[in-house]
Amino acid sequence: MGEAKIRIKAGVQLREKELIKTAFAGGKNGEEALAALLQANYRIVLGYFLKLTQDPEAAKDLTQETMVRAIKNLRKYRGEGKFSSWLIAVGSNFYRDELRKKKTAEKIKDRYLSVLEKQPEAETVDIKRALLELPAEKRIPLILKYYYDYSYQEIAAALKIPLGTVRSRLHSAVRQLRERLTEEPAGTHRKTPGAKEEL
Amino acid sequence: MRKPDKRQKGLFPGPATGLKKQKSGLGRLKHAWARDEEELLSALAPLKSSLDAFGEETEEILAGLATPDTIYFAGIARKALAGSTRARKKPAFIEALAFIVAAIAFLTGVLWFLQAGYFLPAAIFYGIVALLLPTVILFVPEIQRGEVNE
Repeated sequence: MGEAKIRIKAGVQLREKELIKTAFAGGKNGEEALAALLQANYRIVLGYFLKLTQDPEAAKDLTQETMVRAIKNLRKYRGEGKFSSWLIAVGSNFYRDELRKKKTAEKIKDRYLSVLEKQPEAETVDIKRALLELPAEKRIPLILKYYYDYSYQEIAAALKIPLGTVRSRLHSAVRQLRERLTEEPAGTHRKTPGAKEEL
Repeated sequence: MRKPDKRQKGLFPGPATGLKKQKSGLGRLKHAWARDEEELLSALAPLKSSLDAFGEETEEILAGLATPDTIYFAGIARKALAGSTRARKKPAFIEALAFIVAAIAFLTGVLWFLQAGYFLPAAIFYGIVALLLPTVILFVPEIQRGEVNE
């Protein structure tokens, strides 16, 4: 990494720390700092939910709700990791909670079915289907591991689950993905999805 | 002259040459987790191209989505803060009410015991409560703070 990049990164982290400090202080400045923090991290959270749901509308809704939940629980943020990592942890737990609620689970299931039906004949169609067919409990750690390079410990801390559970869920997710993708050649799977979200 | 072997300095020399130092329990565990993570990544290797293609496609979709302006985020912050203030005020009101009720009940009880002529039990009870109350007042906020940090 170049020296300039390191300096920019350090500057961003410093600004983030200052914003968090101002947000904690409250008042009008606190509100503005919070808004700036949320805006700076919006795309990270949106991208995460986009990978989880593959549905831009659902991702937008989940991102907004995650931000509301994060503000309400801002006092729980201890400033140990990056603010975006904390937001992702809040979002993951919010997503799981939503799936546990019957009504929301049905809504997400409907969306899930429509997303699968709308899948075009693309190169990624099989991996998308395979990922969507993974239960959320396995999909979340897999996405955190592969796309965000989280360690087992970080996933366990974010999802508040034991380390062994993280390990078994990840291995099971990989096994399931491999079985699913090696079973059928690309683009031939047109079965009506029967897989349900494991709640 | 032959250079002395560092391992044979003490009275109890270390393990014979060629043997590695034993790792601690925590070190072994960390090593095992690291090895497991490596195994997982190698199991993911055949899926790498598909996963990367999916990741790129998601990034393209993300690039097409606009970030709302600052007003939108300020609105979220204001709404959420107002909600959390309301949520905080409710337990505070209940707490204050509970305190008043408990204080009245306590003083009424003491008065009733004194009127009934039970001076000694009332004095003992009042003494115990007077001793315990500062302890509770001192430590309850600490416990609550600990719960919030979890």
